[in-house]
This record gives sequence, C-alpha cells and structure tokens, in this order.
Amino acid sequence: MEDTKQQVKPFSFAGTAAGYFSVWIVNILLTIVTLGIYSAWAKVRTNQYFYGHTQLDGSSFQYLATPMQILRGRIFACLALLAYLLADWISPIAGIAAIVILFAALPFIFVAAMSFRMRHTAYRGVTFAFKGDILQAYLILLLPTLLFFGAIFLTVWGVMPEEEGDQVSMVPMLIMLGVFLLAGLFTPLVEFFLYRYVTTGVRYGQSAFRFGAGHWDFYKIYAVAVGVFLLFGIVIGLMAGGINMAAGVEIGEGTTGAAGTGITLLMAVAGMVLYLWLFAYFKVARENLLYNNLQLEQGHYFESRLRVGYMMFLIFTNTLAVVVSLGLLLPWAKVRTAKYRASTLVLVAVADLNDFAAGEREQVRALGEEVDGVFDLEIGI
Amino acid sequence: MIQGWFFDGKTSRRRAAELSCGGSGRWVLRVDGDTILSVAFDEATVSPRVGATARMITFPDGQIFESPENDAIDAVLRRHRPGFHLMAFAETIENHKGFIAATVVVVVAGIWSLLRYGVPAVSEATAHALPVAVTHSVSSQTLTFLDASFFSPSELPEQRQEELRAQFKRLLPRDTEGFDYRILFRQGGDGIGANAFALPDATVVFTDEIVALAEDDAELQGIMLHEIGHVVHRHGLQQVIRQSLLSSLIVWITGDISTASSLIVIAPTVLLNADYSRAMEWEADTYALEGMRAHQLPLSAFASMLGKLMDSHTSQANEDERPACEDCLEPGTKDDWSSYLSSHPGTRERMERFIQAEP
Repeated sequence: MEDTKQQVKPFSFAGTAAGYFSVWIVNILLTIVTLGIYSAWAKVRTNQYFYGHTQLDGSSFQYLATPMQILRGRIFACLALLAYLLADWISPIAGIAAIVILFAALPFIFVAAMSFRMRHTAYRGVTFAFKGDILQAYLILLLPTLLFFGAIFLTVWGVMPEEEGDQVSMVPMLIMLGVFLLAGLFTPLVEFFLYRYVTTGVRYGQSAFRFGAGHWDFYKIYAVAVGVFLLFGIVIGLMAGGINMAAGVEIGEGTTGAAGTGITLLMAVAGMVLYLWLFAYFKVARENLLYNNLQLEQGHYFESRLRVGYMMFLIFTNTLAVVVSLGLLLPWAKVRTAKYRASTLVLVAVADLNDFAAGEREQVRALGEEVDGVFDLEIGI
Repeated sequence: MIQGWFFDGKTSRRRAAELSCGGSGRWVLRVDGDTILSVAFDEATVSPRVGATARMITFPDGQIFESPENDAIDAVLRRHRPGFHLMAFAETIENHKGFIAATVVVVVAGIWSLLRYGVPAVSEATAHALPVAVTHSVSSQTLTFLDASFFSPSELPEQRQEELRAQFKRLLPRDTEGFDYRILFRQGGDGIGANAFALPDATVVFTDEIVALAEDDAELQGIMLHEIGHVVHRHGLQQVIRQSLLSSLIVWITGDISTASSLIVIAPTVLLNADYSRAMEWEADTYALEGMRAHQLPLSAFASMLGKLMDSHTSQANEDERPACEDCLEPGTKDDWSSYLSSHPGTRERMERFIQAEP
C-alpha cells in the first residue's frame, strides 16, 4: 500500500443549469399540485441530482434517503412551528418557554441530522456515518451560549443599581462590554472545537477522519477579518474626509449638498463591498481550512483552493441574477456554485481507493425507523 | 449488455462489470466473463433517473452496480416493470422541453394566485372563525408599546372626548359579534401626528391632532366608520394569521427554517404585505362609505378629511423619521408611482371614490 505513488484525484460536478432547471421547476409544479406533500420527493430528487453529479475518480456520490423519511421530518417541523406560534399567541411566556425547549434540544437535533445525512450518503457502495458523542455536542454547542447568556443575565439583574435614577453607574456597562469582548475572544476557540468534533465524528465505512488544524488557525481567520475591517474603515474615513475638505473649503461650515451625496454614496458602496468581502472571506477561509486539514486514517488527504475574489464575484452575480429574474435563475446559481466548489477540491490519494471497509449494518435503534429523518432539519449554522 | 462498475457493498473495491436482464426476467451480473450474481428482477432496486447521474442498482445483499447507461437501464425497466412510477413520471416530464416551458408559466401563475387569492381567503375565513378573546393580549401589548414609545396622554377637554365617544357609539354595528368597542384619545406627537387606527380587539385610537385637524364632526365620523370597518372585517387578526401562514408555507415547502429570514424570502413578503394592506384599506373604505350613507353623513367629508391628512403628513418636517406604521390611516402617500409600495391605495384615488359616490 505504501509503495503506490500519490495520485491527485479531482472532484468534479457534471450537472448543468438547464438540467437542474427542469428538475427544479417540475419539483415546484408537483409540490403546488399536491399541496406541498411532493416537497419531500422534491428534496430527494434535488439531492440525488447534486450528489449524483458530484464525481470523484470515475464514481459518483449517492443520496439514499427516501421521500417518506423526509416527509415525516416535514410534518414534524411544521407541527413544531405551529406549536410555537400557538404558544407565542397564548402568552409571551409560553413562547419563550417554547424557544428554551427548542434551544435545549438543539445539540440533539444537530447530532441526529448529521448522522441521518451521513448514513444516507454513499460512495462506491460504502456509506458514511456520524459517530459524534451527544454529550460533547452539548458541551460545544450549548455550554458557551449558556455561559454567555448567564453572564448577561447576571450583569443585568445583579449589578444594575436598584434605584431607577438618572445616575446610571458605568460599572454594569463596562462589565457588559467585557462579557461581549470575552465572548468574541472565545468564538474562534468554540468554532475550532465544533469543526474538530464534526470532522472526527464522520466515518467513511469504518475509516475515521483526522482534523489537523489547531485553534490558532481559527484565530488567524478572525484576526485577518478584524484587520481588514479596521484598515477598510480608516481608508474610507480618509476618503470621505478628503471629499469633505475639497468641497468644504469655500463654504466653511457644514457639508455641501454634492459632497454630502458623494460621501453617502461612497459609504453605501464601501459598506456593501465590505459586507460581501466578509461573507466570501469567512466562507472561503473556513472551507479551505476544513478540507486542507482533513485526512482519512489511511493517509488520503484533501486540497481545497477556493479564492476570496472569485467567491465575491460568484455571490454578487448570483444574487443579482436571482433577484432580477425573480428567482428563475436560482438553479443556474446553484449549479454554478456546485461546479466551482467541486473544481477547486482534490483528493490526494496515497493508494488506490479500493480498501475501505464498509461499516457494520446499522442495527435498528431504540426509537425505530419511524423517527428516522424526523430531525433532518436544515439548520443554517 | 449494460457496462458499469460492481461493488460488493463490503469494501470500496471497484470492478468493471456487465449487467443484463433478458427474457428470463433475472438480473445477471458478470465480472471478467464469470457470472457472479443472478437475481430475480423484483429483488433488486433501481435508483431513479435524475439528470445525467449514474444509476445504482442495489441487490439484496447490498451489492451495487453503478452505470451511467441510463437509456439501456430504462429499456429493461419498461420491459419488466410496466405501470405508473412517480419518479419515472417526474423524469419523463423533466425531459420534455415543451412541458417545461408550459410548467414555468403554470408555476408562476399558480404561485401568484396562491399568494394573491389563496392566502388572503384562508386568513379571512380563519379570522372570522376564531373567538374574539384571542385578540385581547396582542392588542393590549401593542397599546402598551405605543403608549411607552410614541403617545402621550390626550389633552382634549373631557367634554369634547365625551361628545366624540357618544358619536362613536351611535355608529357601531348592531351586531358587535362579541367585540367590546371603545375609542381612546392620545397625543400623537412628532412621531405619529394626526392619525387614527384600530387594534384587533376593537379598541380605536384617535390622536388629538386628527381631532384638531377636522373642521366638522362628520369628517371624524367618516374616519370612525373606516376604523370600525377594520374591526368588523377583522383585519388585524387576518394580518397576524397571514404572516403565520406565509412562514408555515415556506417551512413546509423548503423544509428550512433558516430561509424564512433570508433576503430572497423577505423582499416579496414585504411587497405582498403592502398589497394585502391596500386591499384591506379599500375594504374599510367601502364599509365607511356604506356606513356614512346609512347615517346620512355627507360623503365629501371623508374625502376632505383624507385630503387634510395627506397635507398634514407631507408638510411634516422630517418624513423619514416617522415610524413604520401598518394600521395608520394615511402614511403620507404623495405620488402615484409610490402607491404600489405604499400600504394604502393612492389617496387621490380614494378621495375620488367618495366624491363620485356623492349623489
């Protein structure tokens, strides 16, 4: 096995905008005609389209979930939403209680959704799995949030002066600021734990993944973002000052109309560019960090080469096209994104890919097949 | 012969293979010329055809045959598995260009009519089916919020308030359907100014400014009828139901709770809400028009009041700083082009209606 040479195996996406458009529009039609029930079949078909067109080394990925599993998840999600709306309608306290319950269940739902998704993804006849520990999920997902809100709560109710006079002391404000700063300082660390937890929980057959990044890698991502943010602010501030000076000399006081408009315009454009950059940068930096540090226990590893500039261009043109076409170009945007993602990802194989052993067949778990997929909710994190 | 890859399901090992399914009705799989599997047609599952993706044929013991030869596989399926299959049906229509073109038209029209007619009809029916009691908590919360943020106590003399309360009482519908109608007075201040609105539980609020603006009590009574119209048609309740319905629909169709907050969803929702609100204003106007006739009030009074409200709002110094206001009577519509974005039909159009209806 060791004597085989390293082989670079690129990912590719073979879907086309026209092909996916047909799938997409028929999905919408049948979803409307069946009053939404077909949406579960639609989701399966969409995933089959994207998994099936994603290829690596001549074989494609496979999406295995059945529409009935998805339908159960839909029904559950809708009932939960209705319960929440009802609770909120009855009293705000019941509404808050519902949110707290959902919150407490979130790590569990996260693990359930993750393992559902992995169990229903296959490549070369071998399925993926997720073996993440539920307790760890609670520690990573819930504990930091609880600590944060606990600190806020204590500050508001514990340190605030009792009399509601105008003399509000600076102390609680400073403590509050400290809490936010501390939360900000710990965010990259929590993100590191989450990434490590997810990647090392995934199995391909019986093979585990290793995650080679450390917490400083995540701090670096944030440090660059903060640096660019500040630099950008200074440059824009100087430019605005320049415009103001150039126009304001002869007027003396205030800003003239034209200069004012110029500055507003500059600020608006700069704000949009900065927002786009931040969005693209975080996406690219995280994905590259994830895949460039991911290794299968056999030694195969990934290389991800997403670029921030192209990602900005992609997001900007996709959003524009979707808005202008009132959503009809959404399939085009999704296919384009999938193509770019696949084309920038390679697997560096240290041997051929024939030796992955499949995991043991999943024994039916305590809850049974009926609830399988119930928690396959899309939660954008 | 269908060419493809064979996987035994135990490892990721890949072998070139040939599959056939002839007259015998059995799948026969050969690797390097040797038959290694022979399975009855019904015992294998064939993945549906989606775009140009490779098909997976899964055998009872978890072995898999992967092949991109979609047409050859479909030929086998047609021969051995006649009848209707949902996924095969979806695949057929996906590949029919004329059908896709027609579908685009049908889908766009279908979504439009669902949002334009379906959603309002369901919310209206639901609003009228619910007991009046459900309106109490929302209304009192809204009033508390407005009192804390925008209003100050009314400075109208008690005697004047009493007069207006008596007039309001005379205008109420005979059947109150369990609503406990009342009219309150508040000072609108810079934020709200001359305005009037109705909360879902039949609490109608008039600002001191709108009372001062009226030259004639008939003008105020027209506005009262308009607000009573909102209550009778349960517009406040409809609005809440509609919003819940729209978000449930989105979750149901996309299965994604997070999309409910994305821009692509919010933008049309805002536009739609403006459209729904305009329809509700028109309906409340209809109620006012009929009510004014029944109480023998001059219809021109309503038109002149609308005119004054429009002037008062356009002359207000800082228009942008006024709060977004959904139930307000007149949020300052100025031009025709903006009428589609405004939550109220063009004020001129509404005034015309009352002037032309006057005998």
